[in-house]
Amino acid sequence: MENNDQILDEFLLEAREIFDQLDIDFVQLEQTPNDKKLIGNIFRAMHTLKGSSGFFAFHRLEKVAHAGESLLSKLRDGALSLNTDMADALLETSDRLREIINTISALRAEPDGDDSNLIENLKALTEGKASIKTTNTADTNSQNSANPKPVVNAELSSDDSLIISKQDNAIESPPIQSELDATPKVDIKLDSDVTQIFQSIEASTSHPQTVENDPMGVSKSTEIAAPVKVSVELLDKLMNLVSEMVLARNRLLSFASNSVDLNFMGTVRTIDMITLELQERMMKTRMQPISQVWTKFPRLVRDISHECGKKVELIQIGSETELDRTLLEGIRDPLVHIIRNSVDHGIETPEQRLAAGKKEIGTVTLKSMHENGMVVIEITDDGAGINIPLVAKKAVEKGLITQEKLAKSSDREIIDFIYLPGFSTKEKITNLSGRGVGMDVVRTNVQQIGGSVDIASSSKGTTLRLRIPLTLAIMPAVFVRCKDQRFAIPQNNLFEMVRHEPKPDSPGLEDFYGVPVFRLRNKLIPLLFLTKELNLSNDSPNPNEPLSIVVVQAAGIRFGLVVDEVLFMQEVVVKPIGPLLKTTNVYSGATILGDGRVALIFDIAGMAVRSGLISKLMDKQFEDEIEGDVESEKDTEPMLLFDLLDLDRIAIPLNYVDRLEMFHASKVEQRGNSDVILYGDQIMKLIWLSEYVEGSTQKGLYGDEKLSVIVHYHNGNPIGFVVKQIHDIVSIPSEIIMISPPQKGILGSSIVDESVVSILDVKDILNLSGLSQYVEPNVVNSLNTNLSISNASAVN
Amino acid sequence: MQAYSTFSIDNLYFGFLTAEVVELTKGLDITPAPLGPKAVSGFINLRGQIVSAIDMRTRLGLSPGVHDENTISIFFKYQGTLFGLLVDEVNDILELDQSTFEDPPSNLSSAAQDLILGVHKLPQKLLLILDPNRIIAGIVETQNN
Repeated sequence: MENNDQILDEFLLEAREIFDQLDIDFVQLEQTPNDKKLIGNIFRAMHTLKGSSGFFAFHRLEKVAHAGESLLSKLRDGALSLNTDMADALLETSDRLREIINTISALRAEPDGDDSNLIENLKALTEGKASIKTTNTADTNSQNSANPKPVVNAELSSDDSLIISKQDNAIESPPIQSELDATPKVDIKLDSDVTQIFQSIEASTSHPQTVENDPMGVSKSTEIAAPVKVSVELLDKLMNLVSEMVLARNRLLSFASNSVDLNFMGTVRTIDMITLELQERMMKTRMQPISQVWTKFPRLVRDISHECGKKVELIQIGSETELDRTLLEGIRDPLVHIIRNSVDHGIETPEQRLAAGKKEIGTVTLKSMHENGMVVIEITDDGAGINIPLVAKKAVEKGLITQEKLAKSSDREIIDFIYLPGFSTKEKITNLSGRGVGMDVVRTNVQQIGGSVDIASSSKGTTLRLRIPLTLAIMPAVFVRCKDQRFAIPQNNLFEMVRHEPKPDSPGLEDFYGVPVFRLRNKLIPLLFLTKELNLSNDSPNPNEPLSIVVVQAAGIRFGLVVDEVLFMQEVVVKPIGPLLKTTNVYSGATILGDGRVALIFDIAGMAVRSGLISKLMDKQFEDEIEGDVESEKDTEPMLLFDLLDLDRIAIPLNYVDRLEMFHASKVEQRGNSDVILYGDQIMKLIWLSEYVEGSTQKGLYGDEKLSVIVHYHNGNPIGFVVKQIHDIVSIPSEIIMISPPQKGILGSSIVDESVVSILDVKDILNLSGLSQYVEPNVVNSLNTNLSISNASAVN
Repeated sequence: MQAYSTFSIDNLYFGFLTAEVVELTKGLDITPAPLGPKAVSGFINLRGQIVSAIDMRTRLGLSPGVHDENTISIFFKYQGTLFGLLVDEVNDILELDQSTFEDPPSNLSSAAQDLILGVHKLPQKLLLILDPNRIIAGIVETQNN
């Protein structure tokens, strides 16, 4: 019922617009009676009205409009030419229709009334007869109840709620001029003016409803105030003014913070609050629900699935999520592409689905939500997923990658090929998709509006995740200091802020083969030092100094940005910085601070790419996030993979690994019967793992050789495990396959990526090497403890 | 006759058409732009607009100087965007005709050759005429390569 009401409201609005246009057209027609185009316009308007009336079963409306239309069609075809009688009759038709419409809008139903005179008259004219002169006896009761000039109604409705409607929503052009410059002179009048604007905006955005107190108590009438149509340019202009206002407010705030004048400070606070609200409201005027774009999709899915012979159901979740209207335009095409892909490529035919043990009807789920100041749109299908071998094959065919390289590529790198222009795995080009202009368009369009696209795919389906900023103009940002400069980090990218204090018992910054990392709740986070990234200084950070780390996330990658100081948080207006810094990729714009100086805003994703983090770490983290739900983290344990001479793929649990180092063999010294090396201000005992692990061979040392050493702190003393080569961190399933007979130094084996990995028995080796009073390292991951204990018997 | 706004950088005397100049402002704060092109000194807030400031000493391959409150920015528009040129000192506007004009000498340094349209031989000194558009276009081109 509510839905019908909404449709009716739309119809009434449309009808009013038509009448307004008709009035102008009729007058024009009298002056230029032979203007065929004009008659055509009027005819069409009348026709539209008739059609819509038929839909709502408003028979009076339909009949009158029909009679008018008949006459107009004769005029349009040139069978008759317009005379005053006809013009009068047509104008009367228009008036009558308007009356009826007004009554409908008041009563929500068509009033009774007799239009036979008017209709007869029109008929006579249509047949070329003279006008039947009638006085305007349209004895409708409509005039009485019609209320063409709505006034402010504030009356009690039946359920005792008072609803007030403001009809005087004349939006005055806002008197916010650049008066609000640096001068702290503040006009109180501004305050009230602004409030007034709010009210008018409010009145124009929400549909105020009035409930008249019907004496009969039967029919409730709802008056809709026609929304004011405001041109987009005007909205943009207002938006810009609001942006300027925010900037001026920021400057004012910095003045106020140095002031002792209580009155001034109070006024500034008022301005601050009003500006905030003004900004929010202004944003609201541009916000529209995503359902505006989604409404077309059920039909789209139906058509495509019919054409492919598939059965697909579309589920929409969160269609009320609001987005800035310019962004809404920007996501329309990408979404169409994605949905087409999902149905055409993703979902299998019913037979295939049944064979694969899936439900016959495939589903495509559209889901949108707000997340960290961004709008996230997920398009999930439960189809076959991306055929990675096929994508790989096509990539090789197209010469995008060599076979050798392909063998080394991860699934994720292969999936990335689908973003390339002209890349399609479809054998045949269909009407729907396969022309290869899909994913590249999606990515380009989404990136243009400052968003990002992620894909996760498995045999259970594919999920595309679009992250779209809410709005482009104003955003919250965190300001950080680096040397003597201030920079802004968009809050969208911000994950958390950590102050890292080095303590003697906890691992500080660790070196992961050139990449500094630190542990954030048992997760390794790569670090970027802002001073180094920006070439502001080459000094290495002092490991004993506390670090301010801003943990950010971009393109699915989480990393820490080490800054000199975290300053404050502020709403900033993003301004373009022109073409000269485009290729640095690390700035997305700039903003003006309270003191009038410029601060650059970082493009966190660009920075991750520039520093090489994205290509280095993309695979790992992305898969972590997607598979996190499916595979519980408890079933695997991170281990460091390394080789010994003649024995490949050995893994050591990561919590035994404190640092990785390279030493020149010449630095190794003899102490008694063991090898040691000077490590910082400590002496590190070296353990040649090849001596302890069965199957590996030992060879002599050459002075210029480099040793790879895994450093482990044992009761506070460093111990270095010498290995041949260090590879990577892998997730090892906790289920360990025992080897029979047991191999010295090896706890057992596990299978990773379809090959066997031997797990080092660290405890055993430490015992054998004479460090008998072995104490478990401070293990955070309890699993490892269990793992070591339960399997210890197998070896000892 | 054409009007030239003249200014000096590192004791050299430069000018470009007055019609190109939007405004001159002294002593604006410059926010440096790390990783940006060398010739871009940073960004200036010109009444709410963010303007790239070009260090003319670097751009012209002259000896580097320090910018302070006496540095003057000459603003002009290139393809609809405002840019600021940082110069040492601004001099008079001169009305000159073509009779004193000559093409630049061919052995000019490559950094300058691209930017200097020619030279007016004034009684006391030489006035080098700059092409402001090339100043920006040149930086954009090196960025794209």
